Formats: sequence, C-alpha cells, structure tokens
Amino acid sequence: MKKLLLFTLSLLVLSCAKDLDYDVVEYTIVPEKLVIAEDAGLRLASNIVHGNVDINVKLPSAGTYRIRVLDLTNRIVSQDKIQAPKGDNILKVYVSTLPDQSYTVELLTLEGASLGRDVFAIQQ
Amino acid sequence: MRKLLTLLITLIGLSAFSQDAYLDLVFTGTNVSVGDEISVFVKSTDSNSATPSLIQFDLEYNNALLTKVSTTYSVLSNGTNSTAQTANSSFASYQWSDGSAVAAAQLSDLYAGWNSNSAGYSSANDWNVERFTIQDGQDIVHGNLVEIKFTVKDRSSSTYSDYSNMVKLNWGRMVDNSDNTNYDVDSQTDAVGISAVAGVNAGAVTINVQSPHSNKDKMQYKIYDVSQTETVNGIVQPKSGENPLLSGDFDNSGAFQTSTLSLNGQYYIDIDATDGGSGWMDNIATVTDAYKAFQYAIATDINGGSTGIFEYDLQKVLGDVTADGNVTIDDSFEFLAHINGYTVSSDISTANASTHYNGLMSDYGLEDSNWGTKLFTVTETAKTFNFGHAFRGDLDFSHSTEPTNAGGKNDNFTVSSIINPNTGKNMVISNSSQPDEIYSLDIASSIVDGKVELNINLGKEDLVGTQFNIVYDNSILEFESITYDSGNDMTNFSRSKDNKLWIGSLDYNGEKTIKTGTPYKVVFNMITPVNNTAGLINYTVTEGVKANGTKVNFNIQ
Repeated sequence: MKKLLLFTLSLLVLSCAKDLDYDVVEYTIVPEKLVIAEDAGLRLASNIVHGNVDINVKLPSAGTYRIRVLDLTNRIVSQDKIQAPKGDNILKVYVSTLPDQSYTVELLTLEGASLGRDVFAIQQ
Repeated sequence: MRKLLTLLITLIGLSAFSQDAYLDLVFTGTNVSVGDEISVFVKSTDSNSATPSLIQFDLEYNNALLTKVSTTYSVLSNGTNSTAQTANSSFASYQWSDGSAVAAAQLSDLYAGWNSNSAGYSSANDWNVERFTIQDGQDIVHGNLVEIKFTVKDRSSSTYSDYSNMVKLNWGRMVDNSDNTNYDVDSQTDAVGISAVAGVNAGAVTINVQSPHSNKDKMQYKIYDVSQTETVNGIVQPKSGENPLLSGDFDNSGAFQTSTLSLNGQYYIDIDATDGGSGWMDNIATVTDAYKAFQYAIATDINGGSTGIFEYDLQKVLGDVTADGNVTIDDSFEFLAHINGYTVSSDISTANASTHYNGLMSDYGLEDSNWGTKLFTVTETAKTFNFGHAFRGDLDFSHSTEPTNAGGKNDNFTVSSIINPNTGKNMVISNSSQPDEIYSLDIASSIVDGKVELNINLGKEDLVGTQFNIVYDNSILEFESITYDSGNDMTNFSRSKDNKLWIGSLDYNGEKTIKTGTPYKVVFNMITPVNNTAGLINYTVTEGVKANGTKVNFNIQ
C-alpha cells in the first residue's frame, strides 16, 4: 500500500513538471563574508591565509580582468588573467609557494584600472 | 766679617736644604682594566737627614673612579719599625679645599695652613679622605709607608672623562718627637692617575653595513676582541675555536647598536648573511652578472691576450666563482649554470653557500687591505662604523656595496675605452657608470583549453639576455612545455626541477637581441582542476640585460 502511494505521487509530479515553462538563471551563491555591496570590487574570505583563500571578484561587466598579487615592495609576484561574467565570481588565491609575508591582492581591468584590493598575510 | 760669614752660611743652608724630606705617591701599574685591583704607595724619602718618629698625612681619592679595598702598612715590615703605632681614619664625601697660596707640593706648609684653619675641607660626593698616622719610639726608616689597594671603576657611569689625578696628597708632616723638630716636607708626586684604562664602557656604538638590498635584516655580524685574532698570511682572522664577543643580526636598515664595547678597545668584525629559507640569496647572481663575466672573459686581443677590464678591483674576486685566481670563460659558464638553476660551484653565493668580503668603507674594495679592514677601534670620537659588504658572484653589485675609495677603482678603467670586440659597442662591466633601467613587461597566467598558460610578453627589442625564475604550486600544476619565440639565433635556456622553473635567453657575445612579442610561453597541466590561477605561479626573478651590460629591471604590467 505504501509503495503504491509513492508511485502515484511520483507520476503526479512528473506530469505537472512537463507543463512548466521556465528560464534558467545562473546564480552564484555568495557566502556572507564575501558579499560585496558595490557594483564591482574584491573581497577575501580571510585576511590570514594558509594554502589558499576564497575570493569574490565582483565584475561590472563580463570580460577579461587581471588579479595581481603584490609583495611588500609592490612588486608583482603573480598575475592571473581571468575571463568571467558580470557580477560575483567566487575564485581562489593560492599562496602555498609564496614566502611568508604580507601581500596585496588587486583586481584590475585589462587596461590596468583598479577595481578593488585587499591585504592578506600568510599564516606561518 | 764673622757675622757676614755666618749669614752666608745660613743663606746657603736655607737654599740648599729648603726641604728635609719628601712624601710621594707611587703608582707603577700598567695595562690596567676596569675591575682591576691597583696599589698606590705612600713613600717617604729623606732629603736632609730627616729622622722623623712621627709621620702624618692626608690623602684623598676619587670614589667615582676607585673603590678602596684595603690598607697595608709597609712600614711595619721594613725590618726596623715593626712595632710602630699606626692609625687610619676615613672621611667620606670630603675634598681638600686649599684656600691658601701654598703650592700643593709643599705638604708641611699645607699642614700648617690647615692646622691654623686657613685651609680645610668641604663636602664633595666624589671624594673620600684618608688620614694616616705612623708613630714610633725610634726613627722611622724612609721608604714605603703605606700601600692602599683600590679597585678601578668604570668611569662611563661617572662624570669624569679620564683617570687622571684620582689620588692626591693633601698635606703631610714629619716630626722628630725626641726633640720636637718639625721637618719641612714637600712632595715630588702629590697626585697620581692612570693614563689609559681598558674596558671602559664606550656607551652606544653603532655598526652599519651599507648593503643595497632589502634583506639587510638577514645580514649577521660576529665581533671578536683583537686578542682573539691572529694574522695568517698577512690576513687578520679569528683564532680557531674562538667564540665571538657579540653576534647577531643587523636590523632592516642595516644597523645595530651595542653598549658592551670598551673605549679604546680594538675589535674584529665578520659580516655575512643567511637566506632564511626565502631564497633571496639564490637571486644574487643573475643574468646581468653572467653577461658581465662572459664579456670580461671573451675580451681578448688578436693574440688572445685578455683585454677585459673591470671598473673595480673587487670585481676580480667577485667574478672568480671558480676560485682559481682569475675570471675566465669557466667562471662565465658557472654563472650560466647558476641562472639555469644548477649549483656547480660553492663559490658563487647562493642560499646554500656564500662567500663574503667586507671592511670599513674607508678602504673597502682595496686589494692592499684584503678588500677591507675588519679591525676597528672604539674611541670617544669614533663610535659609528660603516662597513661595505660584497657577495662573491655579485659582479653588478646588485646586493653588494660599491667601493667609494678611489683606490678601489681599476686605474685602466674608463667607460669610453672599453669596447666589446665582437660588436664594437661599449662594454661597461661596472655599475656606477651604468645605472639600471626599467622596462615594462606583461607576464600573466590564465586558463586556456583546460591548461594553464604563462605568457611573457616583451615590448622592447634591445636585450641580449633575460632571466625568469618561477615557482609554481606543483600540488595543482604540472609543468608541460615551454615555447620559445625569442628569435632564430638566440640561445635560450630552461630547467624544471621540483616546483621551480628557470627560463631565459642569453647571447653572451652581445650581438643578438631577443624578439619582442611573446618570447616565452609556458604550459602547465592541471593536476587538480582550478577556476583561476591567482598565486599559483610566482616570479622570483625577472631581469634583462642590454648589450652594454646595463641591467634591466622589469616593471610588470
């Protein structure tokens, strides 16, 4: 009896779904600590990092952007070119090969205009 | 006539025998150091058949410089006056204040003045007075009367600038009690001091190392007392097994201060460096150093004789990374191997091993001083010392101090006279005459078709050499390949080991230049899928060199 009831319910659900008309909307679930209120910017999940850290790069429009890692002397030690859609993009910064010190991570347009930056230190 | 003769005899007697005896202070110590115990004797000397049975005197000593330890009556052991009566009274914080016109050496006159209250004592924190009385039923034999022992204090904590006149006789008298004869007593040495005391704290002494790099806090010093050193083959060095008096790290400005050295102390300093695991010392010798070494080594005349000239004599040892006494093509290939990530010689400075040269800036870089004097003497006027320091392998002085003494320059060096024989161009194997230049460089990684690509894009075409040292996260990436587009005839190099890559090009003849565009493209496979590459690939060295030896630092765009 119990099995028969489940089978009937499943058929009912499937028949209803067949008639639904829907659009697929891509939506990035942004953890609270990575939420950026502005239209564009950059936010780190933590400013003390071990191994890697989540980062939200919020873009004003889809396209190619740069993510830079700069050392204390403002020397670029790593540069990533990303192609990403408009809005929030949850990515990572990898630090396991960097010497223990403090770094700045910066989001820029391809032409070099800064959209946001933050500072992190490597956990020793 | 008789009266005249008597007067003359009297006058002669007065002038010839104006004093009957002397009381003197005697100090004969040498090589005195702070903390040493010294002895000051009070000695009587006969001048005119004085036969005192009572001797009294006051002396004072500076308690800021001396601590009284003991008093011994030497007179009791002269073989005659062993039963003499003695007395010693001490008065702390008083000093002789002679208000009369009597000379300090005229002790019995000073006594007379003091005894009639025309001169006396006043309070003085730094001085103590000692009064001695020696009395016997027979004549006191002249000679040492009293020995007073003191410990020498460090004057750095006082207001005194030296140890002069720190014990003084204030007055003295000698009396023959049998007939109450008061003798005239003078002093030939009424005050004693010490001209030089070792171990006086010098206060703050500053040592600077004038290194041009940003890792000065990884520079280290070891300081030895000169007594811990020896000279071997004309070179001063610490004796085997000696532990340094002081050791430690410089601060990030290349300085350290100490308050433990002594005035007039002579010291020896060794300066070296440690990598600390960051790898900065692996990047001391770079493509510019390699190119300079090649240019020096291949510069020959038609008979094969060397025509290479360094700007500084010191470069002859900095470039001699095979330690065979000359900079030759062998050294050049050592440099090339190093920038390819190989360690062939332990004489090229790296994170694992390094050779250092240092000395006072006054003669740093002079061959005659073995590239720099390591001995220094702290004095009242010399408490800051500036040292130069160089790493073997650092031909372009990127991490080393350039000599400032003109004697360190090669007499034959002139910029215009040094021509690359292969190109006819200026071949400047120096630093000061050819400051670094900065070029823009676009270097970035990205994900392309499921792989990670690192593209290095160059915008100017006048570089004969480049070097890119790269570290990547090999838990995520696996090196796959390098594609060169640096020019048909350019010699390229690369090496992959563990999580490191060494990439570059060098035409050591200085004839060909690296193409603009994307001379280097590195491809990695992803071991672990990633969505972006930020921080995965890091650049530790990005450098170029021009045909004339100018170092080019890349400003990454």
